[in-house]
Amino acid sequence: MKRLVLLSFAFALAVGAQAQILWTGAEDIDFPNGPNPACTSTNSTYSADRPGFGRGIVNSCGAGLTARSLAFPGGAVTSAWVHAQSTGDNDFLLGLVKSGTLNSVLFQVQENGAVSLSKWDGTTLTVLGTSATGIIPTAPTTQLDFQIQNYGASCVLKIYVNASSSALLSYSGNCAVGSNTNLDAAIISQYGDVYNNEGYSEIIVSSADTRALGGTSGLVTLAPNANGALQQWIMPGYQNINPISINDSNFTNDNTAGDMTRYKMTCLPSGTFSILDVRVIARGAKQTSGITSVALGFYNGTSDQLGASQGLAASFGSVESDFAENPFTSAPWQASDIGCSSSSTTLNLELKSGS
Amino acid sequence: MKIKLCLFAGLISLLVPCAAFAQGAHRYWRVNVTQTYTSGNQVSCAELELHSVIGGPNVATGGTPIASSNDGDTPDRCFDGNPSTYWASATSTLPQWIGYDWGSGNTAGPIVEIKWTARNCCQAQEPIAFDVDYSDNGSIWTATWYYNNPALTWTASQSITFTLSVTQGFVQVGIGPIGTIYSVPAGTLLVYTCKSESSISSLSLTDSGTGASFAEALIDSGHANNVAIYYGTTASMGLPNVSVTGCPNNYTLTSLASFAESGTPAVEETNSCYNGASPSTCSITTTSASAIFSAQAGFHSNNIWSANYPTTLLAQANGSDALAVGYQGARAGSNTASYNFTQGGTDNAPLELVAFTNVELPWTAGIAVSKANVYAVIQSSAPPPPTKIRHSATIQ
Repeated sequence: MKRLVLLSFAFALAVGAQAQILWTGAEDIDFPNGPNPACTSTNSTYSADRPGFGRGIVNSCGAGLTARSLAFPGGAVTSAWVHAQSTGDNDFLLGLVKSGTLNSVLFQVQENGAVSLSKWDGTTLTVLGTSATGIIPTAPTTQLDFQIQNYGASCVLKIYVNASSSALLSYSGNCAVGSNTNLDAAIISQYGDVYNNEGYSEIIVSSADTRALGGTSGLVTLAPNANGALQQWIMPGYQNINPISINDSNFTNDNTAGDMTRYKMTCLPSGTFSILDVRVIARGAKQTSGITSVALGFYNGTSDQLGASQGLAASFGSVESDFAENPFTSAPWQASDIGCSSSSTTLNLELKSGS
Repeated sequence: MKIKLCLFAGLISLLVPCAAFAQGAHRYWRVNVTQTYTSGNQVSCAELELHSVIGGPNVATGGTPIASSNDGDTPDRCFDGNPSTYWASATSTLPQWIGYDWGSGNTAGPIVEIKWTARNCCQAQEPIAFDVDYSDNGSIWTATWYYNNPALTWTASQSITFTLSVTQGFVQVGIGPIGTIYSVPAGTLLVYTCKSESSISSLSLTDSGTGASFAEALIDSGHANNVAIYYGTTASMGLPNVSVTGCPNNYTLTSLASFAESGTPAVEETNSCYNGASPSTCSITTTSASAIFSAQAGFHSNNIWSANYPTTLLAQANGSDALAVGYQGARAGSNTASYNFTQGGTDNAPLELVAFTNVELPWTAGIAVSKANVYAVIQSSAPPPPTKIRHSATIQ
């Protein structure tokens, strides 16, 4: 009876409360910072991703390498959930970090199928606890939800496997690292010494319980798959901006403020669902002369809605805009709003040149 | 191979002796690996030979092996003649390089061939893309030729010889005497001008690779100041070469642009115009989404390029007096685009306009975007029930 009560409570948290999505990521473009920008790979041997959700998996590119995301647009947090699909026993660390540092709290799926909780200052990895071995199978993917409560001297860290009602592993105590008092970015690292093509997919950072985001829920990658309603940029072909792994040799470019280029996107899965958040991320750079910024957003067949214009650096890096609601309706996203539908209400992804 | 105005009949005979291009000898040479057989791996080699003559002996002797990094397996193990030992980079972060320092006062090269032997276990760590670079101080490196073959496969302990003449190009950063055959990477626009008052007597383009390839040249044979524009071969072809002869001295390489190719490059249209009166105008219409255009005319400040779609100037000889120009153009949708080049001046010089398609270029101003994703967090209205795990633990 006691267990039934707990289950009901967890369900109410997941569905009844609207989660605030702090950040999402699934590919190399989402981890552009830190010592080593991340890699995206596809490898059917390891059941690299869940069909219909992601295009591949992200990892740190190799032993001892670490990559950070952009800072969360909503600012730093002390409590959050980190959701991911682990491709087998990938040996990578995943967690939250303070931008500009490697001070982080993380979980790791180890090669022996154990899961551990750790904190790291970029030099010393302090393991806070390790589960029994054989928890995580080699394949296929396993849902992991990492809960951080009250980051600091009296924090609680928990890791849940496959949306279990009870944590696989819990830690209570001091999880503070360095002098930072909060966390504001995602981090992926391989502290060990194994080279492989495994990693994580569907990474979601939320203020609320993420355990309901597995199964038929999750993070869907919508990649450009056709040119849309307008191409004012040079070399605007969608193939130039939709690689699974970053390829800066192919690009679309522009030097006229206000120019717009639009793209159709791949499909959402079929089924009935709500959309909690939509985020656009792009990798770009500027030359030494001409315009320097880009705005990211959508075109609905009549008008466009764009995030803030984002300045680009001289070397390629990532910029992003988050849309918690449909910007045209200021209402929650509907499944028919976005994706590959031919409906007139289906949005085009839009890149717009800034000044 | 399409060769236009290939006027130098003796060119083929120059190919072999000139294959060692004019990069000279230097104290340092290296192989800079930009891609491994399997991504995400460190770079390693069991043995490496550097050859200054194709098929010749290893010249990496008497000096000191050097490398970008090592994981404890030091670079000397790549040159010790023992394939059981190896050099390995410290990390998988690319590029990583392995090279040789012949010591102060000593030089070797140019390196026109390398023989790379894979470790007996770890073919995933072997290169499928690299460039061969030289340096005179060990810190500033100049690329001379490169190799890039995503289809290349490695097996354990395999040895592969990479030869300049069968690799894919040459990053042309220096320039030697006119008349020398230069190897250029696929997708290169070169603009030569003769500063002397002599005309180019002949202009030649050729390709030493096999299979279909592509080259195009323009020559203004009736003009005191001359130009050659060359567009390289496809990336999968052999080494392309360009030779410009007949300009006896004081020529300059005014500008150079390199660009990637998307698919097989082709001339969509060539329009040779000479109407006997000035101004003469060439027009081209293309249905390609992007194209390179080359135009050639005399030194005239009134040369005018116009188009109904935006173009970007890539390279231009002699400053604003357009002797030769390369433009990148782009067209939206399936519409055609019209481009015009009008020659200023009154000397009735011949004028030709060529459109090359399936090319992609570095952008020269403004911004570029190389990847974009949209992420949607979806939540099913019927989330899966929580499952019970096999073990749990609390640590405090």
